[in-house]
Amino acid sequence: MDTPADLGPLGILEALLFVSESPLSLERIEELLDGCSRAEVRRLLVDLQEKYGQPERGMLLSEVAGGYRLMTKPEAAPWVQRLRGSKPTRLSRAALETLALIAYKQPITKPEIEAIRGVMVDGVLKTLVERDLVRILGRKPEVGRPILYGTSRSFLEYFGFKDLSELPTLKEIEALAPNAAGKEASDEPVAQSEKAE
Amino acid sequence: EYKRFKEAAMTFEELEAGQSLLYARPADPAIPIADGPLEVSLSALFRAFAAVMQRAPEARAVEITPETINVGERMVALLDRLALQSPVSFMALFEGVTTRVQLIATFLGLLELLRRGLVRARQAEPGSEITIYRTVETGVGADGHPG
Repeated sequence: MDTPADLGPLGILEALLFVSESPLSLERIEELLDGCSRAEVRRLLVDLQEKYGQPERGMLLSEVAGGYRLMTKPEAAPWVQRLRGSKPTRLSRAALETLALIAYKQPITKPEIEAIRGVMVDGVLKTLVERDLVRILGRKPEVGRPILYGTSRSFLEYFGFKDLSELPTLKEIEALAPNAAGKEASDEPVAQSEKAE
Repeated sequence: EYKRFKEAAMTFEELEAGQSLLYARPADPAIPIADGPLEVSLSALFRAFAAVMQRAPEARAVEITPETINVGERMVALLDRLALQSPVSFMALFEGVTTRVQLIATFLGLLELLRRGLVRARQAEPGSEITIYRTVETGVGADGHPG
């Protein structure tokens, strides 16, 4: 492909990241910048990250959801919100709890979620699917073939995870919790759910 | 057990707060997500759906049923249907769907599947029958037997 002689691969990479609506994976960048090896792409990304790291720049290069994307710096948020005319809508506590359950126990069915949460989750689940944070993975091969839910790529983007392995383990979360009484030694959920206090 | 997820939710909340300060380029609705050309115009799809709706029974105001409409479920049902038979005619996808709201949910589900590139729609020539065919296998091999 012909590219203007004075625009180096760094400039091209920046342009690609600017127009991309979703994070660009290393493989995809390598493919687009034909002629650049994986190692060269990595070096370009580090270069760009350093350039954006300077305090006068308004953007940052973030590694999220299996790729790289340009985002505005948190310091710029008040002005971006002014431009957009709105603040981002945050998830309700019920939605966050259901989402956490799905994230750690996926693939999981609605009855299984309800058994743990002890409440109906139809409305919350609908919201999460509509916001594309939760997706339908398929159906469980059992009576009634209930739908199996799991987290989506948008989920990773929303919380800034590179991939699912970046989720804090439940053990880590327990350690952070101020008054985590009755700790269990393993990460595995206990077979029987105990009554919430 | 649930307590742990409550704590996990708190962690998620903190992450959400941090991430909500970072803005990325919004998705441009003018650019279709699916790769490849759209083989049928959107207006042709809407015309076909209008024909489906005309055949549907009239909505009666007296009858209020607490029916839960779930586009996601309709999407799964459509993919299940296409697992059995693909390609299938546009009209055939609406067979057995009786209420107007369910017809609309099914159509929305179909549009979403098209947008995500999970199914494709083809029309040989303007005015002819639209056929829908699936482009991918379902996400997880939840059941070992393919359709």
